[in-house]
Amino acid sequence: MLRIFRQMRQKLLPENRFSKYLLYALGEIALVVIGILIALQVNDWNESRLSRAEMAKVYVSILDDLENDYGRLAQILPDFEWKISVIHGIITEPPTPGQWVANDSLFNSFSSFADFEIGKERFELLKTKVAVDEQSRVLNNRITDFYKKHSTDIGVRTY
Amino acid sequence: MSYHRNVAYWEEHEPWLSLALVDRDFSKLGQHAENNPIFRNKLSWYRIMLSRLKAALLAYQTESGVLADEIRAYLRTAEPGT
Repeated sequence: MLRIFRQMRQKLLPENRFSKYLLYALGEIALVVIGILIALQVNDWNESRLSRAEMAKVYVSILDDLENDYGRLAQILPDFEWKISVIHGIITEPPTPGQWVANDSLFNSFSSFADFEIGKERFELLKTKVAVDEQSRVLNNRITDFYKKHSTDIGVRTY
Repeated sequence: MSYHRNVAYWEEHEPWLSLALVDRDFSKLGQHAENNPIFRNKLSWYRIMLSRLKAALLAYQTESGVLADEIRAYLRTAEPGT
């Protein structure tokens, strides 16, 4: 390729055809500029692809947190249900002193409950990332609102 | 309305609770349940607190399922094969 350009240059210069040489020079400049633009575009595309992949990893890990929390709540929510119904029974029909001693689940119903903390370590990671496109910007806002709302709501009731 | 803060206060100010918590001595609870209005009041409070917490956790669980679906949908469109 370079040899072809060199040959063209050598052919045009001795012939003293300045206008044609100028046209050729402009063409060569245009080719270089196009080459640079293509390289920049490829670099940009590659960076964007890497950012997307990195963002996808964060989303996958948040998904993991959500699935874990969902599973843990499926385990502990029935216990809440049970405690509420036992306490209701204690209030409406107080057990006898003997029943309290014989059945420690009466006391356990109001002495504690399964601690639950929202898993949001990966959400903290999301805060350090910049959205890669409009769709991910919307999703990031959605995730942020979700954690903000529920952390406050659950936190207020437990601590 | 906070569970941990209130129970910490009860432990300090209601001897029947610390007796039952620490020594697992439930003999006084029956008397309190029948005759002590404060005891019944605290249990009522606890039931309400627990019901509200359960509702908040249930809402979190339901909405986390919805959000998980949205994230999955994004991953399917943005990064095929992720």
